[in-house]
Amino acid sequence: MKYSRSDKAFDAMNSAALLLIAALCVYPFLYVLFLAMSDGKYLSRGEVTFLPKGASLEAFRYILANPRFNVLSGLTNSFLYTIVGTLVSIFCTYITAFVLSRTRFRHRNWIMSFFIITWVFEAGIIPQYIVYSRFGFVDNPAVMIIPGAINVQFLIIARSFLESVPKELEEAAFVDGANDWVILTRIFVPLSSTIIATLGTFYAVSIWNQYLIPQIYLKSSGLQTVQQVLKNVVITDSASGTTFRNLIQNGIILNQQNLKSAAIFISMLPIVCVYPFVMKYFKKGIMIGAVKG
Amino acid sequence: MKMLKRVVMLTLVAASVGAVLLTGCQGGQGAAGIKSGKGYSMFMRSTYIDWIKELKWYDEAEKRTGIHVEYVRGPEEFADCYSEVDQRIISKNLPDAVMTKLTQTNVYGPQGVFANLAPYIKKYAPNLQAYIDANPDYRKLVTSPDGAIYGLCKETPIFADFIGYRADQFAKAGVDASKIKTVEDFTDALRALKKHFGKDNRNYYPLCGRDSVLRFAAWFGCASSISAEKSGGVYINGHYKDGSFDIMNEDAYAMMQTMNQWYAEGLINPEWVAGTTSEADWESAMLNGNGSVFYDYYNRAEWFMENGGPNSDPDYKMAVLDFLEDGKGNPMKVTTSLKYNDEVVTAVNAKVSEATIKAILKFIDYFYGKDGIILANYGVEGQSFKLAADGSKEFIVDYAKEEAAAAGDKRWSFLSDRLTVCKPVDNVAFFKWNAPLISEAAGRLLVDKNLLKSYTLKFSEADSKELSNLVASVYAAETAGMVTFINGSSKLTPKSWAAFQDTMNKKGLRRIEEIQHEAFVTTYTK
Amino acid sequence: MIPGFAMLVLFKIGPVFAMVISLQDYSAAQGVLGSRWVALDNYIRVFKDPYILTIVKNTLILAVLSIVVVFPLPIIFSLFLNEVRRKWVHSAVQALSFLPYFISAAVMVSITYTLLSPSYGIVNEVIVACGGTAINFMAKPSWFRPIYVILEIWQTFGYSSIIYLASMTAIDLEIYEAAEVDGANRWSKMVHVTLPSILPSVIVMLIISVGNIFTVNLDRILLMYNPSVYPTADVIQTYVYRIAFQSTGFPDYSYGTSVNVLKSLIAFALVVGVNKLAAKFAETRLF
Repeated sequence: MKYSRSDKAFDAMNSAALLLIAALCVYPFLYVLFLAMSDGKYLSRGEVTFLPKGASLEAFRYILANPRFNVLSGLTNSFLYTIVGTLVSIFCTYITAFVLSRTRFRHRNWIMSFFIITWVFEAGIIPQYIVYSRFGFVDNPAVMIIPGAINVQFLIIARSFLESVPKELEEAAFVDGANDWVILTRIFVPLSSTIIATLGTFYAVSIWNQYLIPQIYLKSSGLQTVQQVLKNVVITDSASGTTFRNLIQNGIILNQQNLKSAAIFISMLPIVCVYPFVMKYFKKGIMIGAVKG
Repeated sequence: MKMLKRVVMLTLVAASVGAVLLTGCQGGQGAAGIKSGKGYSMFMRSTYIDWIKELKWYDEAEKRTGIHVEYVRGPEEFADCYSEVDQRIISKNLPDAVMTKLTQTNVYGPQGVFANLAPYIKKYAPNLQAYIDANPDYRKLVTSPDGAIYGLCKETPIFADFIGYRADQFAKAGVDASKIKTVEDFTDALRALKKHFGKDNRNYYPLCGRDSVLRFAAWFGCASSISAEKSGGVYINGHYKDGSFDIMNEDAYAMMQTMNQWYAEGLINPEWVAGTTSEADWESAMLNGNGSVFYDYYNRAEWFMENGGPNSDPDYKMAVLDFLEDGKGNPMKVTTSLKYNDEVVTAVNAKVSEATIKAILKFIDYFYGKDGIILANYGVEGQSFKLAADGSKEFIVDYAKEEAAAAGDKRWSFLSDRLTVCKPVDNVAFFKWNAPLISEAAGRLLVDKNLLKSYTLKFSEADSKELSNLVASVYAAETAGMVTFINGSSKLTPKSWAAFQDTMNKKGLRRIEEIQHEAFVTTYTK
Repeated sequence: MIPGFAMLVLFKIGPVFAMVISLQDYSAAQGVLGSRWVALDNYIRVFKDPYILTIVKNTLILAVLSIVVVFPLPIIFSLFLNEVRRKWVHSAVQALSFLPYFISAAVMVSITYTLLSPSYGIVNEVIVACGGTAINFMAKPSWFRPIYVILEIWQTFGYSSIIYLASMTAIDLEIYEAAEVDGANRWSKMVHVTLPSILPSVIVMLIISVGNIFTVNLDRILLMYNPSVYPTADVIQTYVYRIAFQSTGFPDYSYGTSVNVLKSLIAFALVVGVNKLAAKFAETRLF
């Protein structure tokens, strides 16, 4: 293809416009970082607009060190739930998908339909609460891990992938006398590193970002996730019965706005940090989900 | 499929290991570590628990009785606490004792959730029994028609909200607080303040506050009320004091007009009116000079003096305004707290052993005895009080110093309006335990001519349920409607107001008033 | 398989059985087995409750806005992004615009509060600097929907455009070359070649959106709303949530469940219908 002058101009304009839009998408995240870093005295005068003023990390230090905000315990809990939950979920989903993808398994279709029906037809939060609470999920971290260990959407993705593995491989192994376990571990798992990574990313992000489930089930402040903590600190403003006062830490004035922004930024930091590494798996998952579905 | 057996087994093992691991790290819930008869667990609003942990006299009480209470933290908001009680009932996850409200014990008690304490009180709690016998109002309130007692109310000191103001800002704006007699004077004072401080601070609104903005009804003579003749407005669920109003009262229209004016002229914090501010927002507004006046908890003026006011402004000075009058020099009586608070009720899980019930009652009973009353109201002789020559007790610890202790530190404190343990109150001690600013104001303001009497009402099981549900929807609708009149999104005219009254009546306001009135008649006149 | 199956039965089908409480006057104290049966009373109440109309209307308006306003943007965005020749621009734009999709509702809404705060938010600073008066965005019913939709765009357009871009890379370059030979310029290529080629994806996405018309971003609304914006913000699920977990009276679990069952039935029918449509017109199935 040839490039004309107008093509070049268009390309430059287009690129610039798109970059601007993309920058706009992430600027709010940077903005809270700037707020958190700025000195409270500039904030209360409304002097911080686009860049930080009087940069320091005191707000972060204060909000992490002060146990009454629960930020640190929220982060720890969320990490724990996410790691354990992701491992359990990958395991359960993969195994279930494996079984449901084998044509030799006679009951696969009706079981799968049941999964899909429960996915599409939601019982709703009240019946769910009545049942889950009797399983002891109230104020039990297991609620973050066990009930959601099989997400039907992700199960479908995993199953479509496993169905696409050529039958010949499995049949050959079968003839060699391998049992299902050997087939699973020796043939399928090595082929599935991408799909497992994809499932892992999907689950990790969805567990980390969960809000409603912990809000309903995890009541003790010691068990709450970072999302709940954020809601308490920023939105309902009830930092465990204490108020944000104007604090002076190492010569820097901290106010409500600093501390809230610091809390926001801290709670999204883990996602932002792993994002560059997991983005491709996510894209992969979307592709499988959208194209085949 | 046979071949999958091993897969299945392994998965099962892994899943159960995961589950065990997770249940293992479950938080310190329930009665673990409490020896039978030596203590119990209790669900309570978290703020109250934090405060209990700061009290020196409370530790002394546990030492003296040999009973230890393991508190289970509830939410901060009262409404959320009661919702959590509902949820804990569903999940069968109720600690030994619970902070609940009377409507819940009225309904859940007969359904078998809460223990009937009546026989046990007779057996194990002689002082409490004597208190019940000596106070027939109390007995009527906590006893079901069949004689059962499912929950115990605590006694509360009688107090009203005070109008706290920044005396230094009033002086700077040239407002003479002693000249403020009527609502009109009050509004003029707000205007003067706005003019002075609002000109270069767009976040300045002289009148600010927390919780319901509809707390001024008593100033206009349209607070919710109850008497042998009639009941006006929602009176239960705590609405005899904060958030008390009676939209059917003819003075309510004037209140709406005035509040609408406050809003339109920027005299009242609009975020507060919208319901989007928190307590912390209000506090920081009062501390940073973004607000000058509030009508709130009686000791709040002092609180601001102790919690950073003078740090943010060296001139910072709070004072307490007189209550307002009508145009003819008569005081506008204000709403007061209830003697028996039906919103902080102690109930006992019906599933606990008699030994635990005994421990719970033994602990509570201590506070109804002579030693316990002294301990909870004055502390320990020689440490927190001394006996004067005339036999009266005088504090020897300083209020301001003790109450200024950092959050979480142990202190002597006798603010018995909150729930610590279900117990009676010594009103004299309660008002003695105050900074001079508040003691003075209490002596000046908390006199009979200024105060509306409040009544706790007793409802049957069916009425409790109906009323509670009606109030939940009607009160929210009333509040939402009144806010639209205040902020001008609905135009206030006699016609629109009448239509609003009519809608509320149809929604159930009239029925609420009927049930309340009936309960008043049965509780107080029969 | 057993854990998977156990989970299916316990955690997914179990709650479906607990829906029987919609036929009861369920009492927390008496449980599912001990509560009184009231047949269809609760359902009859749903149809008589005037407030149901408001929340259904609010739910549908949000869904329609999501389709009309939110849906076309990623298509346009990916059409233009597809024209970008510099590889780094392409991947940078994609990476940045995709990021918000990963951020939780709690963070997104918290940021919104920070940006829109009437006393210190930057948006109001700008409004005041331009001579306006500060707006309390989060308390104005009229602002709820725009804010919700903007958040929806912010959070999802990067995600959706990835799907469209993927189908664009599948387009045969020869088609473009053929078009060029016919004298097509950049615009006509975009409109006449690229757009039609991604049409199947667009249709599938559209069908999915229609199927999810009763699905709102519940986390976002729960975090954003407050009583003063209920007139526009209260939707079916938030109403059910409040009945169950934030009631100041006795939570009417049975009634809340009835509302939800009706919603689920309609949503179920829609999704199944839409799946059939997708199979027929786009030759893809959602499941």
